[in-house]
Amino acid sequence: MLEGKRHIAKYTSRWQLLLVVQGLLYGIGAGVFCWLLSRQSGISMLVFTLVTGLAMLVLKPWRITATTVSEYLDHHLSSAEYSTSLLFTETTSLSGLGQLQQHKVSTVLQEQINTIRPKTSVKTAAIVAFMLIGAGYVGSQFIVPPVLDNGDSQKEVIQLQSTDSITPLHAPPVLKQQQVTIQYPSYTKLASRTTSSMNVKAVEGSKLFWSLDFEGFIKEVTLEGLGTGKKFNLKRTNENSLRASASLIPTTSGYYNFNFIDSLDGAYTSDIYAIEVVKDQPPAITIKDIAQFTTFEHTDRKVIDFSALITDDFGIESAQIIATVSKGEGESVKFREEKIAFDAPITKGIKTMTATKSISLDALKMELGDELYFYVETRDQKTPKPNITRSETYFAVIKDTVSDGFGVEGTMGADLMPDYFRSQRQLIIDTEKLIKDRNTLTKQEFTNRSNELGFDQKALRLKYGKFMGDEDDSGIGVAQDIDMSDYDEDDPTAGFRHDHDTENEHNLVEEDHDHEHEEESEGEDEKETSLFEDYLHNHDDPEESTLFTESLRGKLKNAMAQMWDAELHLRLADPDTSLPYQYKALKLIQEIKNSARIYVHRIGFDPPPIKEDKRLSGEIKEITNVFKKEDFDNKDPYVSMRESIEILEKRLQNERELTEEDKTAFAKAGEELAQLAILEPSRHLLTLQKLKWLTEDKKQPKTVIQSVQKGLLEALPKVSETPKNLEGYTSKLESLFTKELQKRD
Amino acid sequence: MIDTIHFLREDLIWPIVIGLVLLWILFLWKEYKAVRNTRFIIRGIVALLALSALATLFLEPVTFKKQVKGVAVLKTANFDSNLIDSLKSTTPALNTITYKENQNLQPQLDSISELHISGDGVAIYDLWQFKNKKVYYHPYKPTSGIIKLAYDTEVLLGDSLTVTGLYKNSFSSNTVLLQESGARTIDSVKILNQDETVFKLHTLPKAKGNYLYHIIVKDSLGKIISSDPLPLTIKDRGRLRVLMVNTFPTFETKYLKNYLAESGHEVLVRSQITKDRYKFENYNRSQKSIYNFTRQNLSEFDVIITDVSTYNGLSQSSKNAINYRVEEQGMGLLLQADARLIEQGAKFGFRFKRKNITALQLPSWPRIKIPVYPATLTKGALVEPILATKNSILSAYAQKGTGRIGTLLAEDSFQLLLSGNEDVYNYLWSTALGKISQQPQSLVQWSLSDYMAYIDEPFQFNLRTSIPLPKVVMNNDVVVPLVQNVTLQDQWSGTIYPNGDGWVNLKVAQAPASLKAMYVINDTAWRAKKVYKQITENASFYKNESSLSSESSIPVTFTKWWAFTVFILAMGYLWLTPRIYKS
Repeated sequence: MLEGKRHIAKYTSRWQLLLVVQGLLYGIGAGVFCWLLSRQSGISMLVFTLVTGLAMLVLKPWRITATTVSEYLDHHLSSAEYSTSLLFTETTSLSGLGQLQQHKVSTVLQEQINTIRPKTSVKTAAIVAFMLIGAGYVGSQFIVPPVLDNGDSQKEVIQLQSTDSITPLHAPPVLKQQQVTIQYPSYTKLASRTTSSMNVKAVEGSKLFWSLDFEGFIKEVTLEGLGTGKKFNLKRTNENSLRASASLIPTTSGYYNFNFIDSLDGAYTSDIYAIEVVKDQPPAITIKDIAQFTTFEHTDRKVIDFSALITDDFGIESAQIIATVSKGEGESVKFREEKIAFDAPITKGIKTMTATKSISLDALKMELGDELYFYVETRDQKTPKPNITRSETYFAVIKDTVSDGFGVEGTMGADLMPDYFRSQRQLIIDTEKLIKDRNTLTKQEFTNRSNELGFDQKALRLKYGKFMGDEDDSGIGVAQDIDMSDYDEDDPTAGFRHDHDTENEHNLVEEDHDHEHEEESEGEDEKETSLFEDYLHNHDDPEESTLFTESLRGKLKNAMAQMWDAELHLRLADPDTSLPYQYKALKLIQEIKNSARIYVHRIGFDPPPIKEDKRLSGEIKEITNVFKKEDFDNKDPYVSMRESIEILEKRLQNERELTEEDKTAFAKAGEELAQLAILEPSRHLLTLQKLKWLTEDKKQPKTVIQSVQKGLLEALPKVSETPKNLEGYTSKLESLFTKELQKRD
Repeated sequence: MIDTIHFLREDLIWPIVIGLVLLWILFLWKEYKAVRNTRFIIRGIVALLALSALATLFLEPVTFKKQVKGVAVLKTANFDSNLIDSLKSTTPALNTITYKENQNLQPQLDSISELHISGDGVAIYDLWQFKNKKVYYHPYKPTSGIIKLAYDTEVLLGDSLTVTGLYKNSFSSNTVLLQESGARTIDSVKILNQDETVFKLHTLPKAKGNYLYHIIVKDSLGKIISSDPLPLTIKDRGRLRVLMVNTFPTFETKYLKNYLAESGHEVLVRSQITKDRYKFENYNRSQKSIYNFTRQNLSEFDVIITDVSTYNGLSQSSKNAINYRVEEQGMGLLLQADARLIEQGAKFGFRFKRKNITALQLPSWPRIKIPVYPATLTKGALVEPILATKNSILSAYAQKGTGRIGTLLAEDSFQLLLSGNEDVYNYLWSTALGKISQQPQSLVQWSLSDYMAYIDEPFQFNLRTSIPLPKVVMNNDVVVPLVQNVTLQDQWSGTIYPNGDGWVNLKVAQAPASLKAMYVINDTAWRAKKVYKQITENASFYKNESSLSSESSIPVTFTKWWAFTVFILAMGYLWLTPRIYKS
């Protein structure tokens, strides 16, 4: 049946076509992606061909034949009743039933073949290609050209411009080839580069070789700018051509141009090119796994472990730890400096490394109270002077057991402030953290932590209470060993409470000293209170027993009231409500601290009164007048630029021709502008170049003059305001008028 | 009849009559010798006739004829033909005159009793021809473009330039641009589609010299509609000579000294070390010291900066010298504000009012608080504010004779520097010092009638100078005649007729420093502004001059043939008769 066969054939080619399209889509996607990133059509074509070929190999569109299609249709088209293969058999050779079936299948195919899609994934391929192109586009926006890219791809040709206003009669020399070779310093391990672009970017210390091939005769080639007037060496390469070469090690970024003199003394100049000297960056050090201050108890294992990440752009030469140990205090302090190597030796020339070290303080023979300062110092391979970087200094201290306390200035006879003085702040931080973490905590945990904070708050309050003369009967903060085991099993809150302190709760709330439970912590009490015995008037009345002035006491009392409220809400697992009280308490404590400081100012040196007749009668023979002279006249660094603008304006208004003096002014202006151009080359380079043209003999058109003037005006910074003295004219009549006015005033 | 005969050359009457009499006497004397009969008498009369005829030829006698004047219309640029048509329909005998600049219209105007002028009017310098004429002026189309302009033609380096203009009848939303020399656009303003829009353009010039800025109008598509030159002279700011005296060094003085010295001014700072021992700091000037102040040594300074306690501690002769320099020679005295100044302000001519403020904000820097003393200055006849906010005066000066005593109430203004508000600090001190310091007296003060002159049009200027007989020279070449003001002896005016565009220099020959540069533009520039000015001048000119009779008498000259014929005949007779008698 021809009709059916034709359908199958059509379907086959459609399938094949779709597979080819699919393969092409992959190829196009990859190719465009590649082009967007590299912008090089050669590579992109190659990638396109490769990916397409690979896709074709995988998809194998040639494998799709009529038989495959017929099998595929049999599987997917139930109404074909697995009989599509009948279509390939001659009608005549079939049985009657066969013929009938063949006819039926043919009709079915005609109607339904379009409902069956060939097994291809063009859609996926299209999506992949689209995504690749998108990724390539996004990537191309972020890709920064490599630092030392000198733009080989852009061919620049040095433009020779005659400096003479008369066009030379003979043909100017022809520049056949130009190249500059950058030889990077050996330590950078960068290969030399040769480029035809005369704008050069080089690492500090690089050597530049220029080589210019001329056709025709050139008498002299000089390199202008960069503070040099370097002459090129000329060498005849063959009968009609010359090679000029020169080399230079630029020290700073700047601009240069070439000057050529041909055999007939015709002078030419090139455009201005930039040399950018890239500084070798000093190595960078990041120290990890250690805090800036580390303190050790004498019982601790006194070892500092840390690692340092050291990076450099060209290579690290060495790295070491400089450690200083200080012993003693005050005037008897002694220092000892040591250089310590890292655990593993440094691989020279490596760009990134992580060095680790564990310093044992014992090995450094450090004793109690000694301090260790150390930092990491590293140098790179730069020659002749390497870059040296030091890390921040880290401290390690072994706590001395002898003196350890907080002093509140020197105003009070006794060191009264508790160790825990700053813990109100700590409490606030912890409370805030608790509030923040609320969502991640279980209810029990939350209540538990809130309760614990409440306990700490209480401890703090009691500590302060001691200064008020309150009796510390809770045992908190002092009694470390509290029996936690005796709480009631039936009490549901038992697990969240510190029952040890609830025992004394009622005592502390009401400040009227119910001594019911006092016995429990009496021992501790005695120990604490005995400290103050010498200073107290032992009136037993808390209102009297204080060392603070009235207002201070009031404040402290107030602070304790706030602390109490804070504690209450912490206990109720309501840290939010507690927080304002804590803040108030903190503020009050701060005020107390500061008011204690005021006493410092009261104490001072009281000089004995001077006798009246002795005053102002000192010998001043030795004292002489002082003279100082300074000139700021040349403060404006853009004098010549301003002058040039005026000259150019006169030239533009046809008031005069440019003179030699004007050209000198332009040259100076060029120097001034060059300073600005180093900072912003793209903005000022063109102006600088045109300004250079103006200093030459050739007459420049008005448009050039105008654009130079514009460029200079744009480059000039704003003029700062300063008093002016405007000329005035006062006539006799006016002075008479003011005199009369003054008489009547 | 005889009194209707006049002579055109009335100035020649007496010389001619005398000459005539002398000639006649000579003739009579000569004839008397030759003939002594009746012929002598006849010949004498004939000779007199001949001489009279000859005199008549020279004196041109005229007679006045009464004439009824007509109505005429003068067509000037942009005239309204409809108006002329309607005038013609009401007055059939309407005379039409076409206006041309610089034309003498007197003959035509003499026969006209009523004149209508249509269009943009006559040039301002031609207006005099219409004095005492009855004129009706009908301006036609309203002009479009920048019709008014105001700016300072002379700006000091560091000052800002503000160009204010009035744009009339913008048909689309145009843009006005201010272009610096070098075709660099520095400011622009959008003009709304309105009848009249006031616009302002600002810039800070950066280099001194004579420049040609441009005001460019572009339409919404960026097409340039007009480009007009804006001549501008940027002058270098001068240097102040400052003396700072303090009994002890303060931060305020230190920072002010640094600021002034770094700006290039000449500064001498004297601070006391101990009794009779001083520290002298000379900035940008030759090294000198100053102990007691005299008129002589103070003449080196334009302004003294000191505080009240230092001033009080000076010797009486020093104080006298300062007062003399201030009152008689115009030196400035800036008193640094402190509590004592507020107490003793009256001594220096100030009136302070205590006010409960600690800081002020200037309108230009509304966010920056300037710490001030809790007081404000009050205005007086001789107290002029320098820096003021709406309800407080921050700085003022009191006029003392020719000089000024001023103060700035900012407290510890150096804090502005420390907080990075250098602009405000600079503004405060430069404004205050600029006003208080002695102004260099210029010999000549110019005032020009317009910002720029037009080619081949008269341009008037005025100058005030104490030079007795100033001689003004244009472009170092042409001497310009001057007219002295009758009442004000030092005021002079002159007119120039520039003949080419570009810069023109005016200067008083006796004072070479008095150079004044002005710019001459050609007729096409600032067209709208010129036309607008011409229309307003025309309108106001004619309003005042609308009287006079409808009759005029026209002089009619006698034909000279009569006199000539009489002369020839008389001479012929005198020549012929002796020959006839001889023969």
